Amino acid sequence: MNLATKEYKEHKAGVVLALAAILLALCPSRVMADDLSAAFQSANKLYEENKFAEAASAYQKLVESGKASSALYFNLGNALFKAGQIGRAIVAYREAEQLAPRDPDVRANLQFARNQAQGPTLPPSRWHHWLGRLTINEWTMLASGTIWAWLMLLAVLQWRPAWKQAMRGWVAGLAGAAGLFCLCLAASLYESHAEKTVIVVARDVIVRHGPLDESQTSFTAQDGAELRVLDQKDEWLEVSDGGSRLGWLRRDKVVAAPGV
Amino acid sequence: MWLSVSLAGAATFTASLDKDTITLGESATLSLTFAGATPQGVPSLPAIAGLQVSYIGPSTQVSFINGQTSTTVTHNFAVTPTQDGEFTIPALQAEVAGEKLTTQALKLKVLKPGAPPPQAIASGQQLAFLKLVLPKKEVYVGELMTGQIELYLHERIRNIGGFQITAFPADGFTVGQWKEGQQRREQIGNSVYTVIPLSFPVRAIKTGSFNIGPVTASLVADLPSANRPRDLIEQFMFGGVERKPLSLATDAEPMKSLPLPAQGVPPGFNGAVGEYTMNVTAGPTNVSSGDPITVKVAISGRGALDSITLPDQPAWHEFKTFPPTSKVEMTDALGTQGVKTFEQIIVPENAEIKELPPISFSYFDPEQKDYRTLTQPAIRLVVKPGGSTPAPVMATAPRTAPENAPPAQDIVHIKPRLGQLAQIGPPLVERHWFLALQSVPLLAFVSSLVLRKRAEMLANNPRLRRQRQVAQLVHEGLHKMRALAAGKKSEEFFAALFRLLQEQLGERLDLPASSITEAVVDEHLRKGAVSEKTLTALQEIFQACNLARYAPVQSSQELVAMIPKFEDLLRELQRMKA
Repeated sequence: MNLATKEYKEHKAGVVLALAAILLALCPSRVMADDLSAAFQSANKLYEENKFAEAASAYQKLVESGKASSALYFNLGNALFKAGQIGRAIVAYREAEQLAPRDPDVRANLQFARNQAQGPTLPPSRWHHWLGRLTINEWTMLASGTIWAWLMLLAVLQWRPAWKQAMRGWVAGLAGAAGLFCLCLAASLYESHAEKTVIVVARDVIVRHGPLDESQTSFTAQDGAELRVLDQKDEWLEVSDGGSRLGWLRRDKVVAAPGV
Repeated sequence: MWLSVSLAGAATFTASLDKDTITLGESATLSLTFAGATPQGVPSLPAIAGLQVSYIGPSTQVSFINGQTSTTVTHNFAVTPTQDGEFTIPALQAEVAGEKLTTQALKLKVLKPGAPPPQAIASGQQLAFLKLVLPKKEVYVGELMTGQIELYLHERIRNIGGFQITAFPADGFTVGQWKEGQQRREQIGNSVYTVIPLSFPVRAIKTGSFNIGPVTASLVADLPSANRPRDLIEQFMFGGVERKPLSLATDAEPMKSLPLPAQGVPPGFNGAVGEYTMNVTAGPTNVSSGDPITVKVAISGRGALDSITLPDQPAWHEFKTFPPTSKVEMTDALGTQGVKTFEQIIVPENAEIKELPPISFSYFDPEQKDYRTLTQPAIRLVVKPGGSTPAPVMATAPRTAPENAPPAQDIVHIKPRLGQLAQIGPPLVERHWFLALQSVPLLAFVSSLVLRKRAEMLANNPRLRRQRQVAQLVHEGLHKMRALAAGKKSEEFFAALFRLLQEQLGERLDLPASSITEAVVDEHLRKGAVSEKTLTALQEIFQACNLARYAPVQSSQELVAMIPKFEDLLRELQRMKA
């Protein structure tokens, strides 16, 4: 009897110790989240007091902490927009869009900011719009999930050949879906990595015919204009508005746009 | 020192023209030569009315004759007349090392270019001549037409080379690249001429009265030699032909370029002149507000398609528009006919939009001498209030914004909560652990496939299946025999041994295990299927089994000692060809 009680107590102590270890492991992230939340509220307060530039730098500090949320980028975009930095606001909204691609508020504000940008800019592509409905991770999970389901079904059918006839539609459907999602993922990655887009973050940026300050002016890009990068040389980028306009501008006048 | 001696000797300054008679449109070269002295710079020429003089460059010649060096410097100028007549290039003066040198005056005769007189052409004696053919005498500014130069070559001309148009005066017009057309033959007088048509596009760019031409051209014609070749070598090298350079000219054709009528100019007219048709497509037509719609406007027909621009569409005020892109596809070699396609992205800004308003394109038709307006009817659109439609009160309003919400006046307000935090990092697809995880279903599938194939192979091969069953039986039986030997259970030991031997031999000989006896073994294995040693060992085992029935071995060591012998025998039998 005594022996049993002792064993029970030892077991209980072990469980308590394990729980304590888990709590200790989780504690720093909990504390960090609380800190971030408090800093976020402070930045929101600055925004409500119409101190948009201060609010923007407060949100920016939170982003630099290494963790972010769609709401954080969204509010950063709002603060930048209100501070008159349309280009940087568009960058922030696009970051928010990456985390929450179907958030109507993010899409509305991104569209609103884009509407304010004057002058030549990349026209929105339907393909980009369609791919942007899901994040890269969501496309990845869809592609991976269908591949798993398809291969596991094929594995099961090796041992249940009688099911083959009944499951033929599922096999074909899953294979088709896996192929389609893989294509979407590949396109999404291509748009994100290969198609380099920059956003102008200064007013009246002169785009020149060549990568020299002495080169003739090709056109003027306004704050918020989204341009496709074609080439680069030293401190210069060759950009195009997707139509007939192209030229070179200085790197420090633009910010790389986040991918899909 | 040398220069002074040389100057003191024979310093000269001369002027010369390579041709003293040229046709308007051609150029002559004026050479100013300093012999025995080097001038300080390029001598300047006075302005001569009716002549354009441009500097080509210097050339220097140094010669040694009888130990004496002499230098000749020549400055060359191109002299191009702007009118016909007789011109005098006055005496020029140059100062070289303090000495003033003077050239003689030169005369240049500039002939008016023109086609040979009609009688000369009609006689059929003209070797070659040019004709300028223009379809009209009156055009509208901006109108594009196709002109033609016809090159007539007498039948005596065997071949021509170095054809080039040397002048094509066309003030008030732009002239495009010419293209050679289909040759034809034409009889004039008693001679047959080959006619080579050269077509070119001409576009009026100024209003007023102008002349096109005279167009001048030069070529080298190969004619049959008047002298017979002296020998075969001359015949081979020159082919018995005589090369004759020819200068040809057309008459000037008067043209009148009319301004476009000021009356009845349609709104939105942006200068297009020609004959056109328009086709408009738009898609998708079922969108959410904020989604892009691609409008394609294809303008096809005859005219200066390059210069056509898509007119502003004031009715598109409810759409955000982006600069259109365009491409031109020509359907003829001269570039006067084709299709220009504009692609414009427009974005409906609210859900009240029901249609893409009619698109209009106006042009002036020079054949009908009137303005025309092409109008594409409105295209029906279904615009839904999409996620990207900004609404003014969205921050406080529920997500389901009312239908036909007005356009947003401001951004949606900030979010009060931080929401779910995510680590900023590379996407899943770029993480190694995620990629490694993807191999799991593949491995599962491949393993299942391999196992199933193996099971199928066994099912279809009874001998292989029996071989594996016997191998398993032998493996287990040997364990059992060791246990029986340790337990000194002699009778069961030999029963197990005999059964294993029957199973192994039955599998090898493809006979039922129960049918294996010493006699059967003798019958099948005596034929040399196994070695004599194996056969002897087999007989010993059989004898031991028989003996054990009547005189069981009691010693555990004796039983254990039999096992390795038996194992060796089994190995030998397994090696035996089945």
